[in-house]
Amino acid sequence: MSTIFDFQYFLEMFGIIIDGFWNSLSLSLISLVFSVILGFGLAASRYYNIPVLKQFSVVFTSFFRSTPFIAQLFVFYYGFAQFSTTVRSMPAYWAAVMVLSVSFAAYMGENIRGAIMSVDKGQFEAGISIGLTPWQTICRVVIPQAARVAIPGMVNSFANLFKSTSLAFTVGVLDMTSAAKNEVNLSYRYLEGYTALLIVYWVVLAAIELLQHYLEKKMSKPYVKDGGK
Amino acid sequence: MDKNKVVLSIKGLKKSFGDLQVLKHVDLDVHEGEVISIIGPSGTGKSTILRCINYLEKPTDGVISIDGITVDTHNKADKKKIHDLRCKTSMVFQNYNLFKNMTALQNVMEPMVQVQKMPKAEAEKKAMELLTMVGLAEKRDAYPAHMSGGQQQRVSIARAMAVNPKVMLFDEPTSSLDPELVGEVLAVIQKLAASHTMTMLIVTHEMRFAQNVSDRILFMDGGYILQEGTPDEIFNSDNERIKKFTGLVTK
Ligand SMILES: Nc1ncnc2c1ncn2[C@@H]1O[C@H](COP(=O)(O)OP(=O)(O)OP(=O)(O)O)[C@@H](O)[C@H]1O
Ligand SMILES: [Mg+2]
Repeated sequence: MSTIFDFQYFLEMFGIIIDGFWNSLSLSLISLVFSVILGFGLAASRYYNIPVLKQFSVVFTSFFRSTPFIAQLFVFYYGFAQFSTTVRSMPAYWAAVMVLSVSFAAYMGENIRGAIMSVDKGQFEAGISIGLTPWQTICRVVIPQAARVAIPGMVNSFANLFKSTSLAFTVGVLDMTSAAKNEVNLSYRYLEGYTALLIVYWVVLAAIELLQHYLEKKMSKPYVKDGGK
Repeated sequence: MDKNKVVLSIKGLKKSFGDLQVLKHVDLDVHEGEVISIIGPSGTGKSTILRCINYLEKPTDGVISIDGITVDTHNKADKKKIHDLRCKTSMVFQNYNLFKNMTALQNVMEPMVQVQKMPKAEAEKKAMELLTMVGLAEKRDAYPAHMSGGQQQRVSIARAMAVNPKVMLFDEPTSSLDPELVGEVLAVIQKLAASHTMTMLIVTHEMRFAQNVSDRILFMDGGYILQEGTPDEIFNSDNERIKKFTGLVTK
């Protein structure tokens, strides 16, 4: 415990964090897929004014956006477990996937809804006027145009989702936060351990941000004036 | 092409938006190859007629028949029939509404490939013929954002023709264009009208153009067709409303 910052140990920490890294990554990617699917449902029921589902979607979105994720996780994993044997016997990993998916669906739904609303109604009318079915028009015209608008918001929500996976350690999931925590609890080298952890989160999200800029640039080409020849 | 064949028939068409009764009662028979212009003051339901014909708006009352497909508002909404009706018509919109995520060529191929299920190679060949017809073959790979308004509207006319419709509907096709671009679009429509191979309904404020291309002109006012007749009959009408309107806009 003589040096303030043991650089050697700091580097070794990355090898330890990697043990939990794959859980963090898979947790966030699986939850991303489910939250986008659910988000589509929420957005569609509001956009198309489907009775009951629309009201449900409004309340759902408001609730999950206004309450802390960790409290949602505790209510589900500890609270529901008091009466539900299904929850009690559920692995912590899958409980975290469920709550992450449902919670972030609220954000994804708003991203998707905003993006769909940004597509001019005339695009849909033009589609059905040439004989496409409404569904064909949505898939071939509306969604491709909305995707470009949705990307920044969805990447932002994914960044929050990825960071929220760190709270899964509270129910016993072995993610990279818990890998770091378990190690430094033995070595007492908190500064090295948790700094290494922050850097891993940062690197992952910085890479995703780069991907976002690349996608945005590529996808906006058809829509900006000076993109043409 | 049979000049006596009624290709589009509208009977007792009514349309209200809430309490606002926009179309009060419209009857109209359109013959094959006929070019009809619809003129009249703003807000009198000209666009609404066109939008009811292809069911972009559901009429409140009335029967629309196009080439053997009949849709009656009193029968339960039949998705298949409405779809068939839309396949028999195509529309050129005031603000073009080209698909922004597709190139000019893809826009024109879309109805042929997705609706008519034509093989891609054949659709591309036909789409190129249509783009050539509107003078934009070299813009095949340009996206709408990279074309002028006049060019976009010409592509949208090509797309509307690719539908292979029985009736083409034009809703103020030049109203959003800069004055110097109006001519190129009117020229394309005029060429199409002169060939008399296509049945056309054109809502327009371009009076000289309407006078030149139309077989018949409808003057709309207050939710009715106030008068219909040849261009000469309309532009020499005794009706005070019509006189005032044509006098004002042709000046
Ligand atoms: N979706 C709608 N909801 C409510 N009112 C509408 C709707 N569409 C049209 N209207 C109203 O119906 C009336 C007729 O509209 P329409 O667009 O058919 O007129 P128009 O003759 O085409 O006029 P313009 O020359 O200005 O294009 C207008 O008063 C308009 O405000
Ligand atoms: Mg109009």
